[in-house]
Amino acid sequence: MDLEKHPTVPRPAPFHDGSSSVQHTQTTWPDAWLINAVRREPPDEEALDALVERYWKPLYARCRVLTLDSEKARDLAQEAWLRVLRARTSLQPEGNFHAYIMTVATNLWRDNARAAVRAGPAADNRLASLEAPFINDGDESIALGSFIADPHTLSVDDQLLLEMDLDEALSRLEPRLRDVLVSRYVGGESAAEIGQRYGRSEQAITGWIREAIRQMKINLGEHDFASHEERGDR
Amino acid sequence: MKKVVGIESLLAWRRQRAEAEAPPAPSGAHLLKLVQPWWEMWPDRFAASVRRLAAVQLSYGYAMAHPPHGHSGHPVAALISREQDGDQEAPARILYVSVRDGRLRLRFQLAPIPRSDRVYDVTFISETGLRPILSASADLSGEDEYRLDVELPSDLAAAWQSLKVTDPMPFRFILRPADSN
Repeated sequence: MDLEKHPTVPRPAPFHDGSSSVQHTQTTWPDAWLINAVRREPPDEEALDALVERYWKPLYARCRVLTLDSEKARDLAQEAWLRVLRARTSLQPEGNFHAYIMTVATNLWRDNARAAVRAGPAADNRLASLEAPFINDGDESIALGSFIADPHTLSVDDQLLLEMDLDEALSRLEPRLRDVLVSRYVGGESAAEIGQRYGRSEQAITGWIREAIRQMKINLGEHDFASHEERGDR
Repeated sequence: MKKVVGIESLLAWRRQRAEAEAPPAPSGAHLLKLVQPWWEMWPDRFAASVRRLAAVQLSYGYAMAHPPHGHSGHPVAALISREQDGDQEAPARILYVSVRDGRLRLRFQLAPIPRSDRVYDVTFISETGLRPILSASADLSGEDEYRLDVELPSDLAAAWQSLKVTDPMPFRFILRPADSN
């Protein structure tokens, strides 16, 4: 995932076929070409447009699930791009850009969460301590069990309710647990990869994920999702 | 019969909904404008500040008049650049410096000044070439101490790896109150 450092993939020569716009051409470029164009001084704005457009939705989605707030998600996603651009000359075109920018956003979110903890109760987005110990009851049997109605089978209104309940359940997780859960199941990172970020073993991260799932089950259980389908009040 | 799903599918569904509600992506031009450093936006002002900064001589007398607390090193020439008030000299003293894992962690103290700010954008100016080499945000911590923690470009991380607080610092500061940006 080390995207920074070695520039090796050259930017292709501008494509001139007499009909296609440069913009159109750049949307078809692979990441490595776009990154190489963005690394230049001055950076190629159209290549940057294409790169931002390519990753904006998944990046926003990751930020949305982490921050649980649309405004904060947009700000976080934009800040991640600013971080990337400030370090653009050291980007590695052949790296995994998707993983890189997701990690940048996640780290920014973690830094913000830590700052909120330091700021104490006065912070507007105060969060539980990142390092606070969680209660592990030793229940090793917790797995990705089925415990909630398939969202796709719900009505539009019930999907909205489920979304709110899910966000509420995620918001109750301490940042560390939310991060590992989202990284694992939204970002698709392995426990070993997450462990590298935290400097913890794969086993430790697996334990955190298990604890996050356990707490999600409790949080979601309080909302009795089954009743969404059965309620006639919508 | 109700079909049920696990957490993985549930989060994947949530991600899809979040993607669907994503606002339009910012343009590349907008992002580039946001990351443009102030010295490129206002080159004349930067040049004037650098000229004044270059003329600052930190004397042995200053060091003696402002004894440090604890282990600390050489004073660093610093200029506070305010939008309305112009530039004001305010020598800084480095209290702590550490370069590890590609990050610079620094604490410094400013000479007493009539008005200090909670947050400064610190522009590091190379001592030798008087060029901007780094920009970071420093927060007031405690009474009169500022702290910053910033990721370093690889060349600076390598060059400053062995920097100690007692070494002469290879930079000077231009400090801009964060709210003036």
